[in-house]
Amino acid sequence: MTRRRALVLLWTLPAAILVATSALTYHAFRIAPPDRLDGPARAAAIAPLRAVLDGSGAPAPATASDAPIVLVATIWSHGRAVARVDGRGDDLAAAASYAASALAADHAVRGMAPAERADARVQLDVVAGRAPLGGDSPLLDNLALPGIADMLAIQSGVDGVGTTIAGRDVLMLPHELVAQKLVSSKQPSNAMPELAMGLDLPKLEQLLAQRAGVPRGQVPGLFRFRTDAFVEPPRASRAADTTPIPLTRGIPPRPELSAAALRAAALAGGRYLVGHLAPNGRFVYEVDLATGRQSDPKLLGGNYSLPRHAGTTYFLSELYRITGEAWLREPIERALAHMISLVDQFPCHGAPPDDFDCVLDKGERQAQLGSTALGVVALAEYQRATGDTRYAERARRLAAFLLYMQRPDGSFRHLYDPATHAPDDDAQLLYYTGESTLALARMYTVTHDERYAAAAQRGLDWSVDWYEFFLGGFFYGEEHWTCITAEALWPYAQADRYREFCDGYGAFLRDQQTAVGDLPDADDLAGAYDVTAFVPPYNTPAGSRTEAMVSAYKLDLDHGAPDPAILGQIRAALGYALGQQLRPDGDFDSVGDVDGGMPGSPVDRTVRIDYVQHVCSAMIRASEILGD
Amino acid sequence: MTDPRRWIYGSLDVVAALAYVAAVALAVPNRHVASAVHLYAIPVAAAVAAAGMFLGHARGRRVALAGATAWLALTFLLIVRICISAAFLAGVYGAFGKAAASFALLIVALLVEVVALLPIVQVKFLMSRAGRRAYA
Repeated sequence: MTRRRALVLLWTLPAAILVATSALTYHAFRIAPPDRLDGPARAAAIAPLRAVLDGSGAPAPATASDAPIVLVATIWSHGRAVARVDGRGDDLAAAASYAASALAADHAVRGMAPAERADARVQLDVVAGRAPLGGDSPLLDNLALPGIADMLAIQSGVDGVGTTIAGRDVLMLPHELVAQKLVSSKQPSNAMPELAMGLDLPKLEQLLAQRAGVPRGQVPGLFRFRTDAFVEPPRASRAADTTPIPLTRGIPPRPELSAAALRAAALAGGRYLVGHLAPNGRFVYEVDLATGRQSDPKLLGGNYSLPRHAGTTYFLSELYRITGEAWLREPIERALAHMISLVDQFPCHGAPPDDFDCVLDKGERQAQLGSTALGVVALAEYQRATGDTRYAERARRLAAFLLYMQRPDGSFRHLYDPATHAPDDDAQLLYYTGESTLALARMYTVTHDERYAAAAQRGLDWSVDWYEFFLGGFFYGEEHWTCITAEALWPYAQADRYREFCDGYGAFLRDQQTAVGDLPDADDLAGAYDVTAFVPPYNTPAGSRTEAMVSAYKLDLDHGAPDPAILGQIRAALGYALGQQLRPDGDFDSVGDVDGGMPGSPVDRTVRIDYVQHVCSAMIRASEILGD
Repeated sequence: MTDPRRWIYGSLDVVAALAYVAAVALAVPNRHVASAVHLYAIPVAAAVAAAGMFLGHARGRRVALAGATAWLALTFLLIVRICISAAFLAGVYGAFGKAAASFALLIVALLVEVVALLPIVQVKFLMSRAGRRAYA
């Protein structure tokens, strides 16, 4: 080999190897998003199955039972999958006929009453491509960096997983993986429990083995697949239009964003919360949409959070203040009465001469500032919405605790031991400073007592000034309460730096907000706050951060300098949130009366009261600034 | 007079080998056998290169060349693994994302600077006339 040739190889071969291995890996694991069937094609595919449900008879199967699976039909009734049949054949029509024949023979379907069959909704998943599964591919598992192949093996809610046993495919659909809680099942870091990713392979193999009727050890290699999924409209709207609704991650297309749509969605959230408020004033804290399992509001204790109860009641009062809907008033008062009973259950007071009350949640030895702050926010908002002063003295005594816990520099101590009457001067916890400044600002709104406004402003100054260092403008913590306070204090506090701070916070958040085209496979997530393409976003930040951005925008308006970028940010986030909210066209796979609820994420089928609170609070407040 | 670069490179190899062992053990410990073998092979290669540099004579030069070349090859394999991981994620998710791409590029740049630079200049020295003379 000549020296020249050796040099050419030396300078080109490494790059060629890198490009080649990257291209090979990409193409081996790539499943392009499926071409979606158009409306008539979707309707034609579902028609034979609907005919079976309507009792019109089933076509004779013309396909061999070992033909490849082209589609899978799921029959939903009252939110549960009552039947699931594979459609095999050489094309979509043959596979639909095959599935219809199987459906006609299904015991569960035969046992359904005619009305139940009419109410049922057919979902079809047309298999659109397959590829190997990371974590089950020895070559990739050994060559990729540790954790990549198994922790990030599938795109949650989009990819299904299957295996081939004795020449027959056995599939676990994307929505089945989500409902069985097989996705986002691992926590790579104890420090960030909300960061969940990965696939529960042992449980998945067990379920596939059950489905195939073989022992667990006989499940061979796994593969990923994608589907073009769609579902029949609800029965009520089927008379007008039978065109099946396309689904992405099991969710229909978003409604069009408008002020009216946001107001309706916020009220739907309010109805959800009122519908999940027990006679004793306690909310049904969590609902599992896939199973219908709910927290029992009659059981006092468990993981029920008093601050979240207060925050949710605050939202209902805010909704009442803005909409004037009379049906909200009694439930709000019931929830407040329960909150007061919980506060009184565990006494927490100052020692003379410090005359205040504080909130001690169950099982706590130290009163957490945020619990009291949110209690004050809820009581003040009730008074603001109704003019009823029955809780004014209670709010005053709790707000006195916030004043007591504030240091001269405006910062707050976050924990207080009621046994020793000693505040903890070291502990600093997330949100508490912002929640406390908002509580004081709201107290000023309802009492016009300038002590509260001055204290809130000192807290606000401290929070904003904290960022006065070299890289301070480049990153922000969770400052949504801070910006809500900045707007709440207008016109008492009019410093332009509050506006600048919240605009900067908005720009920081926009960098985490995905737009259409940013993630080509995940345009359904556009508008969400999403730090990485690899983990589905949580829905609550689309609400809580938008609450802050609505305040930032209103503050801009107060200063006469509205920022169109923030308005766009609000519209994008709420467009996403509207799509995520449960509504009749998309509640086919949810057990119980859950319309208006807000799931934890596109792949977390749990509704908790604070998810609804934050998102719907953002919606109702944004409805006031978005013109139709 | 003996070329001092023999001893300079040999000493740097020893320091690098010790630093890599510490880094792998403390900063990036992992339970994946293949990855652990790969990562610990880098300080072993550095130690072999150091031994060759100190050994002298033609045999020492060959040993040092083998160690430094293995060191480079292992670093290159590490970069290949980063590319494969990125390509896998891009295949599954349709995008790798700006932050992840920036982070991957940063890691590769650091690898070149912190791990690959020393064996590159060392191999260049060993292949030069001065290097051959030093081990004659």
